[in-house]
Amino acid sequence: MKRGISLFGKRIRLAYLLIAGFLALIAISTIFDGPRTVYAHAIII
Amino acid sequence: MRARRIAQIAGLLALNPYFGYFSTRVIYQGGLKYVCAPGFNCYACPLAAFSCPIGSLQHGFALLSLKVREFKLALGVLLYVLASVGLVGAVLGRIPCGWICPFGFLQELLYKIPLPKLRLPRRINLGRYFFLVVVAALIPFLTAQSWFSRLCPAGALEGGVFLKAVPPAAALPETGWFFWFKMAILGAFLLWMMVSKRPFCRAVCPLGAMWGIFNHVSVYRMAVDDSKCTACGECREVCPVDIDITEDPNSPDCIRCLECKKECRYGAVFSGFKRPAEELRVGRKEEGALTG
Repeated sequence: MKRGISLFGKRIRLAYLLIAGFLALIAISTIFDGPRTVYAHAIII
Repeated sequence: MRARRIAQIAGLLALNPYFGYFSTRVIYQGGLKYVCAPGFNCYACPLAAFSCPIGSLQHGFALLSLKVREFKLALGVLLYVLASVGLVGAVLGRIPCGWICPFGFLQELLYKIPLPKLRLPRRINLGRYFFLVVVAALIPFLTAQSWFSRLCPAGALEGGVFLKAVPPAAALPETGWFFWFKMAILGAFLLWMMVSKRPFCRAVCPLGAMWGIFNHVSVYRMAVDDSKCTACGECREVCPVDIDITEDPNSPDCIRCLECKKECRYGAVFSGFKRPAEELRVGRKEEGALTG
């Protein structure tokens, strides 16, 4: 049974695409001060 | 001592390493607090080094609320938290629940107390999706308050009790009725943990709900070889969340503690990173396909 997603003619596991997507989202979140805002909230509590 | 117990103790210490608090009486404010903890661990705990993903998630939805309207910051926090949780989930699924989470570790220890035990119905597992969507997302969005954190038994234990026992240098707010209400919730959960297997993880934990979604697609996979399984039921007996791994090896309810794999005398349970393992689930033998 073939699994995964076909991309550029190759079958790639969904997990690897998700990992790449999440890494990209983490990078994008830094533009919007994501980690810094998490940090700011953490030390207020 | 078993490897998982060592990992759980290491996880507890790794997420709460700031013993300098006892001399400084100031909560850790270093750079690691930028990082979401790979486990359910309150960041109000004076020893905590990392941020709680669920506390941060609520903060994101509170920033998004019409009362606050900090849309740019909300987008940043929500993207960061969801992607951080998703990244761990996409690689490991719920492995951190079974091997790292300090609150899960506490539940397993309390369950060892010899008391009459109460088996929970399977539908209670749906509760954590309610807590994720309604209590950790919708209510903070509507009220701009982190209500899950305010009532969280882990927060009450690690933050509330700890801070009362070893107060910080800065003055704490007065202890009112709400503090005792939280203590009552904590007490009820501690009692429940003594009689049922990991009830908080199964019925409440929003972090487990998110990681569980990835169990079916994560790089790390579980599998059961039907040709070896005799349906003896021993795997369910040792399971800390009371599931039958043979029904769905990558169930969202599975915390991947691998107790079933260790217990199975027939070697029917497999796990590993190497490749998707659904072939085994339908009975096709692939010797050496997975790390056994």
